[in-house]
Amino acid sequence: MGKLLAENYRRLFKGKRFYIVLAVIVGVAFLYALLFYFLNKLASRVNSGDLEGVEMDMSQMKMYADSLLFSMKTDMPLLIGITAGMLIVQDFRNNTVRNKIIIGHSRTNIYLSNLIVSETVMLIYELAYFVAVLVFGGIILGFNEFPSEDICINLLLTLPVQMAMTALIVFLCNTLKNVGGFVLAITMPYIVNIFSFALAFLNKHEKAQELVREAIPTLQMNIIIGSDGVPEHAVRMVIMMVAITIISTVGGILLFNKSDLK
Amino acid sequence: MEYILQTQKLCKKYGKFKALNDLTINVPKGSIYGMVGRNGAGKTTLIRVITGLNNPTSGEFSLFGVKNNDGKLLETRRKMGAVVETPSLHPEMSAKDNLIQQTKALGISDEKLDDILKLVGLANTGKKKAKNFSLGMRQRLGIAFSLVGDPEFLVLDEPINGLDPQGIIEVREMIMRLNQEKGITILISSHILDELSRLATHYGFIEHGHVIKEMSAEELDKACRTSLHVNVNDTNILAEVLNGMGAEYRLYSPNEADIFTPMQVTPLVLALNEKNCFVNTMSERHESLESYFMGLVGGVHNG
Repeated sequence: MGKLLAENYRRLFKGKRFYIVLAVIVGVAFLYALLFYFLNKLASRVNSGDLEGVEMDMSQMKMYADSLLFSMKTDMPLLIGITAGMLIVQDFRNNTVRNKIIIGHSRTNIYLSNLIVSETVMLIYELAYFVAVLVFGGIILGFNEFPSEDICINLLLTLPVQMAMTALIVFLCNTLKNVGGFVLAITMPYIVNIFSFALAFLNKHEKAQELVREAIPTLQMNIIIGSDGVPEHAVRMVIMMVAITIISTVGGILLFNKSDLK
Repeated sequence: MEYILQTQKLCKKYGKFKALNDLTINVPKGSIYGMVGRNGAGKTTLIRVITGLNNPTSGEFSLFGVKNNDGKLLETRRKMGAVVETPSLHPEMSAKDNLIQQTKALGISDEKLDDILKLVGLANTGKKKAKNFSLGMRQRLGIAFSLVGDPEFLVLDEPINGLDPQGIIEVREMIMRLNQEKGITILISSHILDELSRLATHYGFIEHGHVIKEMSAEELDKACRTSLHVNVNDTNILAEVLNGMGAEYRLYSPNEADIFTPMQVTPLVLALNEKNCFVNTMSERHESLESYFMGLVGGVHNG
């Protein structure tokens, strides 16, 4: 396994894609902070009556860096998918996965090494965004509540969701082995969001609706982001995400072991 | 005799299609084993099964004496190198970077890589990316990939496909060197039978997923018959005359044919002349691997 990880990490860090996406993440954090800063400026000009003809009450509008901490959470799977998903799909497209199988690496280990590398990508990107928000947000906007206990717990709660999303990206890319799998993996959260209105059909079954919302990673992320405090079923939500990670990984390994490669 | 690879009644089905059908081969240690077969005969499928890319439907095989259902097979595969169809390369990396990837996967140092690149004639490619390599260079890099782990058994699927004449000679010499100097057993499949006949010490003839004949190069040499190669203006008339004589022959084109039954030339020429069939040239030939194979899979008339 160590050898496979060494091979995968070298491929990851030698490629440009990892760094380009990393730069995008840091850049987005900076741009968000800048945008919020100008919004604050605009609000203060409106409130002081500097802008003629504009009659709006923006006295309540003061943007802090706290909300920035969660701004990228729903888009993060797309960025993780671009780096980690393509890393896996390219291994199949270039047939370089053969080189590992021929020399005796088990398919289970190959799958697990793909998962570990992808989860590493997720952690690095999450950390990069967090640090970028701390730096740019802290300097440009300042924090209001952070580091409050609730925000810290909610930030930690987003990690199992991202872990489950990443495991699903690995499952789709490793199982479909082509660009179709990659596209499906990166669009998955958006597709789920589009069809989330279907939950309305469960309006008579509040408990079931709640469970579905908590069980689907994209929807659970929405719960965490939209929550004022720590969500009520935080522990159950974490267990669900861990279960998705384990089930998708076991399923992915079983399918990979049975499949024929080119 | 010690065998590196043995298969027993190996089967591989894709849906209802049987790509391998009770295939049994024996690759002796130290040999260059040539697999001969038409497109779709099952050569690449066999290679995919033994390299672990495909799972067999039934039957079994053993590598270095370790059976395919034995847990030690993965460990045994470490002694193997292979190029399956197109070389598997990282297109955005240089030749050396590609090989470093393989050293990582093998957990070995990269000190021998320059020697390997030299051996395959890619020592001077520098930072040129593999995606910009010619087909021949990619083939050679693919072979270099398979050599990184110092394999005892090398599987090469169509290694000279797309190579220019110079490249074919280089690859042939390299294969000979690997076999003779390093003692590497080589399983090689190729459509270019003339080229294969210059290399192989053993042959396996595959047709419809089944080995129809296995033999050594010496046995093949003895089995290859002498024929009379004739060039006439109409082989249909030639066939008619030869059928009348009860001779064994094979037609190659409207003008060319091989006659395998020993016969006197004069009566044949006279008989042809009577039917307005004129003989342009006539020469004695030793049957080639190609014509032997064609005979095996059914190209001989009156045979």
